[in-house]
Amino acid sequence: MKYIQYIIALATVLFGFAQVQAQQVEEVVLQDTLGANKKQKVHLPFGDMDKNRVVGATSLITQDQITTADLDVESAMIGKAMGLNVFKNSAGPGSDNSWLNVRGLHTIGGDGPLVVVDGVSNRSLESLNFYEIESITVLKDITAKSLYGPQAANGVILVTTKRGEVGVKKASINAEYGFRKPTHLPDFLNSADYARLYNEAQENDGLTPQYSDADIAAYESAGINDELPNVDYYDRYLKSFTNYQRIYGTYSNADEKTAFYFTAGYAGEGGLEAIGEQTKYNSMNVRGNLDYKINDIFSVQVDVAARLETTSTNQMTYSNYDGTPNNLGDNNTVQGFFSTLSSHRPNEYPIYHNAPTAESPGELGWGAAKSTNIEGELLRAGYRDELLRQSQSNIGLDMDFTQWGIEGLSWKNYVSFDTYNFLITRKKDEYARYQADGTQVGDDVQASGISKFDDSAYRNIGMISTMTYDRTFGDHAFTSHLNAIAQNREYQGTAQPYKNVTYGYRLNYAFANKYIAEVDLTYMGSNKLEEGSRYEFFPSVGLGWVLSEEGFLQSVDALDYLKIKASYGQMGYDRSLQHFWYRDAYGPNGWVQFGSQNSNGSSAYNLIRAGNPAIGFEIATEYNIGLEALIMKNLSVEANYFNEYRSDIPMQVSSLYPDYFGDYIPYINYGEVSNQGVELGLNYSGQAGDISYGVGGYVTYSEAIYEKTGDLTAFSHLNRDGQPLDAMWGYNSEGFYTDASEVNVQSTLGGDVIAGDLKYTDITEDGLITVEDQKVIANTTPRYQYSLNFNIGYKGLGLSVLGQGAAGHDRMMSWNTAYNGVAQGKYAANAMNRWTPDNLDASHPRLTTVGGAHSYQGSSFWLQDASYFTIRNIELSYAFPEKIRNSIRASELRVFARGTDLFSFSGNSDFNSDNAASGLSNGFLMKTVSLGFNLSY
Amino acid sequence: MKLKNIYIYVAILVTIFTISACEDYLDVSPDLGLDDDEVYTNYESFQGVIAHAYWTLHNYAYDPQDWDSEIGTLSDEAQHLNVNNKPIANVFNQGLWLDEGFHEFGFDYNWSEGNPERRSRKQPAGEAIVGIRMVNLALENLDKLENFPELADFTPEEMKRHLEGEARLIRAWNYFQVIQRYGGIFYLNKSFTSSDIVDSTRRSYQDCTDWLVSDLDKAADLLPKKWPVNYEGRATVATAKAIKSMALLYAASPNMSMIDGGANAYVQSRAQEAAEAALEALAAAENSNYYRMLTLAEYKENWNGIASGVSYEALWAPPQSNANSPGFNAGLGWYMPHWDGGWTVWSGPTQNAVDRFETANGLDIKDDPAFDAQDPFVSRDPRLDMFVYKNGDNMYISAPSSKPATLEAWNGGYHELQAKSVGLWTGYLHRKHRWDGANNIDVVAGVKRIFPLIRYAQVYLDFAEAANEAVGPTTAVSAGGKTMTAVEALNVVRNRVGMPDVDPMYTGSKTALRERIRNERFVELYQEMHRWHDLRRWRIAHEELDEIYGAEILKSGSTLIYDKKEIEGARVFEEKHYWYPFPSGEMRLVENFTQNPGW
Repeated sequence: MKYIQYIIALATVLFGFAQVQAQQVEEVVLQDTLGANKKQKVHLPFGDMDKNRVVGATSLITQDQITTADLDVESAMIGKAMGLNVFKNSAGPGSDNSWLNVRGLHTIGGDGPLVVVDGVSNRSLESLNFYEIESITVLKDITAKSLYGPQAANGVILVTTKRGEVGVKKASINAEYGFRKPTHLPDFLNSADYARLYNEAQENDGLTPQYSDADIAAYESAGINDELPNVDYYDRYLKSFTNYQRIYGTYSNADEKTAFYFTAGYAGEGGLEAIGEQTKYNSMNVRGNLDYKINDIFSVQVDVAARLETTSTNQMTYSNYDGTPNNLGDNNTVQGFFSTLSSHRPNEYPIYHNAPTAESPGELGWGAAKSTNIEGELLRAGYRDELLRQSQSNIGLDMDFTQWGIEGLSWKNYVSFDTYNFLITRKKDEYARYQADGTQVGDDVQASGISKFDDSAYRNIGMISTMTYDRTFGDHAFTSHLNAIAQNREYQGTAQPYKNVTYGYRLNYAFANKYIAEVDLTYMGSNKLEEGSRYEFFPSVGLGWVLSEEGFLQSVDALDYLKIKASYGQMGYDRSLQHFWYRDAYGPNGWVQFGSQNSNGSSAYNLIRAGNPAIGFEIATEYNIGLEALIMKNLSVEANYFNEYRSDIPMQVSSLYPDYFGDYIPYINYGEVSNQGVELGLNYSGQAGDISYGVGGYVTYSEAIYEKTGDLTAFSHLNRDGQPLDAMWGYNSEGFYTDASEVNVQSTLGGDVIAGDLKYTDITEDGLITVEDQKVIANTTPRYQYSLNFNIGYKGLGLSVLGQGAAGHDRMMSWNTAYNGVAQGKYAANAMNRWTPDNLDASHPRLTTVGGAHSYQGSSFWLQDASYFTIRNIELSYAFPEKIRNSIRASELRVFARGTDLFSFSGNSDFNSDNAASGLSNGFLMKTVSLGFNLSY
Repeated sequence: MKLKNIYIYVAILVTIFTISACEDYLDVSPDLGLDDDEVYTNYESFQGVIAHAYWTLHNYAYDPQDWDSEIGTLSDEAQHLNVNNKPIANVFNQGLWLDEGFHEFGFDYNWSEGNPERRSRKQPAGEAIVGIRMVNLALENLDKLENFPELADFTPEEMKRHLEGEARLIRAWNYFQVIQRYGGIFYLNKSFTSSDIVDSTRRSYQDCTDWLVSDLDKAADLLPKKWPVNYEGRATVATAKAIKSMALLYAASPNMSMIDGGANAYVQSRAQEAAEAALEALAAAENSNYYRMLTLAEYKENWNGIASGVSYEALWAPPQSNANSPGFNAGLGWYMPHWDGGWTVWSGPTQNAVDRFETANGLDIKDDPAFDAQDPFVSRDPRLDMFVYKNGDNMYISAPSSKPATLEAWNGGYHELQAKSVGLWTGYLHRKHRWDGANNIDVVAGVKRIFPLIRYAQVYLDFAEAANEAVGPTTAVSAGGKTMTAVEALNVVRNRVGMPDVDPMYTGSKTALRERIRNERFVELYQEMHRWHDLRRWRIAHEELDEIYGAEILKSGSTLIYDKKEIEGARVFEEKHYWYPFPSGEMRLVENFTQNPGW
């Protein structure tokens, strides 16, 4: 299918030729009476478009909006772009963890958007700092996304970094210092209460209680080093707050020929460990963008950026849920610290069997159930260093053919090269622990040296070529882009690179700036498909109508601008595919040994993949209908309705093949998902004398539903078809059994069912409670996302407040160890409110020693409404007036105080709104307060 | 102006052409896996496919991850003690088998990609079906084989015949695994893909047995009598004949007779065939110059290989695989209590099992006047000491300091209390699969765990049962150059461990000897995954599983009072449980396929 691009190229070229031959037309300068809307440019793939002529849906975050007290860019984007949803998961020095989606969920695999930085795809937001960013555009609808190829179907986050502007010469230095503390700390019981409750659990199960009254009395007054200890892990090992600092400088200078922008910065943050070495994180980055105009035709762009991050931390062993060490999780030592705090019980082991004195370092205690000792892990287990190096570079050549007589034709080519290298080295020591009778377990062994633990790297290479023709002839305005991009991402250690080639063509035609039509054609290819069928062609179209230009609306004074738009189209998606699904593969799997000494081994070959030669792209078919308006000069409105249908999702559908086929299940293009929603955004800004103010916000609704999954089960309530994509399955609880005689079903879930256990609806009506009695009881991601921002300025003072909220989702607390007490885990304070014959209205079922028991499965009893509204950012700033600034010849001097995530309103304020399990196995989510200044010359 | 324009247009077009040449840009590096043609033309990779079929033979006690296996706890041999952990006691012992995929039941074949040794989620029927598919693929592509290496031991001709022989034998064995649990199905004689339309009407059990026996007969012609040292453990002629004997015996059994519409009794003609096949198997084993019955001194090496992972008595066993040097408790979690280093998913032998071991006089404990119920463990079958830890037995090589060295099974004794704090207690601990020193005090590691699927001794027991049913206890049967009676066969097994011949009071009639044969089979093949299938094929499960007992030992002063106590609600076994249910999802997909009766 190479012919299509020849035809398109030929068409564009001939069109331009024809125009040149026709006449030299003077550009008509239109009277611009409407201000910002028309002149504003929107960043679209491979070129900017006048906002007036955009038929698709995009959202914009400008540079002055991207400020945050957090160190990562994802936090900076919360609540600022309509349609972009950010979910915080955990935080830590250098490892703030959030995930994003654009317009909700789209497909069965991942929903992550494509991140494009300065036109290059597959770059990551973690490689940026907010002060390097000029703007972020979120591309939401099909005409905006499709030109970026088959990775863009879930939405695109297009980031543009700052460049020099003609006439601007500026140097600045900025610094910030802040404090962070966990938003919530879990509440666990002390040893005495835990012992009482565990005895009760054993009695409930018909077992002999193991803690005697003397034991419990000893726990009441125990210290951390007693043989029957009582250790408050969070109190002893967690600092109440930590701090960070950030300093960066920028320099930009530009004249007609050269524009230069340079930025360099440093950030550092500490961890929360109170004993032992605190985790330390440092990052340094530089970025330089240079635009150089060689002559009227050629100009060159060179962008180079580099980033270095180091983290040094303790070598902590990761603990499983039951607190036993999990050596497979060895690369997660930061998690090891938090998971140990939440799983080692207060009476697990005395911290020191013999406390340290001036002469001896002390002997650490040991407990049978967990083999590690947290103090030993922090002080004697060694350390770990992580080193992350990234670089990004682009070199581009821009040609403007206006000088050669073809007005409006330009051609831009550039190549990019990124590297990423992550290295972990560690020194893992062992330490001795002692049992109560003095027996030693393990040994004090220093590791012989530093060893490399893990090493990962990737390279991202791209080539981009865009030919633009942008001309206006009287009332007719044409903008067309013809582009080709080739992306190659190679990971160290895996055999296959990820390669895409996409040819795209956009033609946008506007008549009298009133009627707009756009056509986007793409021809995209992926190396995950079989040779000969790698490319597929996808079109999309859009229409726009600027109603405010029409005669019948000219008389409506209040309405300054009104445009309606619609777009419809298709594109392919290949992130859900993996290489070689189109053919069979045998691979070694297992090993058998024969011979009397079992010395003669034979590698076993298994059919690891049944091939499907017809495998192809997943296909996204979408349409968007929207409206933009500006009312009374100050109120801007944007609304969209979108409808997406994802089909041909590659899946293994075991229900299509009987068991006797023997594990023959190829991947086929089968699944279908639909996603629909609406967005509404409003912004009002104005000026009243010396006071400038602005109020704005948005609300979005989206819901994604499984349309076709191939589920075929005995009961229709178990099939996913028709259920939301984020459905939570669980049992329907009807309350507690108050007496054993009421129990009329048999449960296969674990343990016995007695008074104080939950009564579940027996949906299958077979007298048994089995996994088939689960149904959809809630959904995990919010249906509504909304944001409200308010800013006001008076002379030099400024105050801005941003709140963001989500609603329409629930969270399941049955697996949250900070909310329950079960089996051999750590018991939370809520376990005191367990069911007993005296406490019928309990928030916790009767206690048991059985892990995964009947009442502790996911059910509607454990659901909590997860809706929240959080004040994400508050910033108070003061810009010093000219008088003071002139004394130091500064063009800008501003001080500010910022707070992030300070207040949150939700149904249950004991838990963090973004992640109720915050801090239990990953770093705590934090609230931050900081002070800083900006100084420019 | 015009000319310049043309140059520009040409330049543009040329560049576009070159960009489009990047069709090849999307090429991929060669795949790491092999595809069909490469796998089947080379001997090494072809053998790899057969090796994978070997690998699907389920080893119930081998895998370090297979610690929640279920041997013995489905039948009356043992009781699962930590009843709330793992669904054995709550689900499978209660008869809730439909659509439960856990170990013995189901057709799942889920393995985690990162760790191919992690077989604990696979079920025997699921593994068998996958093994059959691999073998069918191999048999269909047998003609592609052309590249052979130079081996001192075999010619290319022989190599090809051996591959075909092993393939057929494994197909027959796996098919047998499926039908002995689920009843007759249709022939699985090709590798099915989605374009196949198969008539899935179920065939009779006898029909299916005939088909697999035909595979075994062909395999017996292709396989060697004995392999060179480096290949020991692979299937031989004796293996094929032993499997044939076992399959025919099962086909003769009352349960298999009933599902084909027959009476609740042995099928006489089949029993005769089974007896003859067993004799041929014994003859082949003798002629192999390799297999032999182990002596009493070597007896435990049937399951614990100190020097080697193959045992001379195993006619058929799953091969060892490449797990890391096994620790003292790997694969033994099922039998080992937590205080000795096991995982808390353990089981204990029942009183029902202990009562089966005869007295040293060769009489059942009910029939021997010399048996004293208050001193029950003296003068018993030597296998009792080797298979079960009883009250007062020393369990360690070096005495531990933190716990008693001998088993304290009485109420209030150390071990009884430990066990009761997490679950039930039967008064006995498993010993057969644990070698001496398999505990966290002695920490004897590196022993290879062998789980024979057919032992030499078993062929004698198969013969005894078949001959007794076909012609009676003392009438001889001849085949393969051997002549033997049922009683003689039974005595071979008994004498090997030092037990006297069968007492004449049991050899008078077919029914009397049948009891002794079944008892001997219980004892000799204790916890080797036979009793459960035997209970079903003899149709006595609902009687034998009615009451499961544990020991109850009371200590007053220094005297022990032995008694037994029933474990309430331990087993549920109804008519429908004589055959396993097919997954209900399967029933919807396959036409003309009927579910087993009662499900």
